[in-house]
Amino acid sequence: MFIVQGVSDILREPEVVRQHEEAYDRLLHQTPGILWNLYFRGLSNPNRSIHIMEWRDQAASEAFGISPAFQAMRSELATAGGPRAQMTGPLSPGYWEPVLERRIAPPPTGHDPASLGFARHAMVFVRPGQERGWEAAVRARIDGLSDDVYTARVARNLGQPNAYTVVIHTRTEDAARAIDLPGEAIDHLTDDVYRVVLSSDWPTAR
Amino acid sequence: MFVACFEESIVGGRRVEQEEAHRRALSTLATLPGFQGGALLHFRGQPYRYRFETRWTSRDDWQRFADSDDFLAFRQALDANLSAPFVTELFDVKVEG
Repeated sequence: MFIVQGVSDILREPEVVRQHEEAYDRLLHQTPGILWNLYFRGLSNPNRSIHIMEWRDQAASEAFGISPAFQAMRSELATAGGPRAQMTGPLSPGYWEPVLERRIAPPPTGHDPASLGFARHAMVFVRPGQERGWEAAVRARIDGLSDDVYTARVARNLGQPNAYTVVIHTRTEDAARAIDLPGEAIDHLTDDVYRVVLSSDWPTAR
Repeated sequence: MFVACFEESIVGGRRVEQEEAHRRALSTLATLPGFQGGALLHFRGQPYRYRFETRWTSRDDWQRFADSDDFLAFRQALDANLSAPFVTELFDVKVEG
């Protein structure tokens, strides 16, 4: 499995942003190799958006990236009027590989933000050499998660092996906030709670 | 040996064009005096980030190229696929293995 994740600050009107997310998702429905497409919206910063795509492999993702249909969408977005989206933070967009996953219950899918739950999202930079210890600590925390959690995943950046991203889907905002991530061995951390605003999956492709 | 590196960030979707432009650039560089070789590196952790490393016998060899019309053509060819002009970084080689 191969994950592409982008963190953006989007300064377009919310309905324009939504139209783009829907169009992107429609395109993915015609694309081989996609497994899960997710958009998160920041609760503390509603302009902050996270887009996560799980792919069968890197080749499928990169074939999509240079496909004429996606190039046309990219071009249309680049020439649209109004304020732009700006990728923000380190390793965004980034390539990631899953190192740990726990599914407690199937997370809801669809396009209705009111029914998709919440996500705790962190990017963690572990002190080099302490990666295994941090992974063990986060595994213990994930093993102890309650039924308020749908699924938890930890992925490592393919180019920066001490960089991880943690994504935990929860039923409620309170549950997302209550998760206690291990703090030992961390050099730098971004950590916040988001509303899941779009979730499409292709379980038969897994 | 002297190393000139170019930090590059491509326009999304221009990966194929980017690699082809560097193949052509390496063919041209190979005809220049003092050019020892080069490699286009793609950062595994991000889709758009590349580094083009070129090795030269001496700083003078690099400088002769950097001051020539060949460099302007080189810059234009590579920048065509980039979201911002490439950033050049120069290194003296201190230890080799």
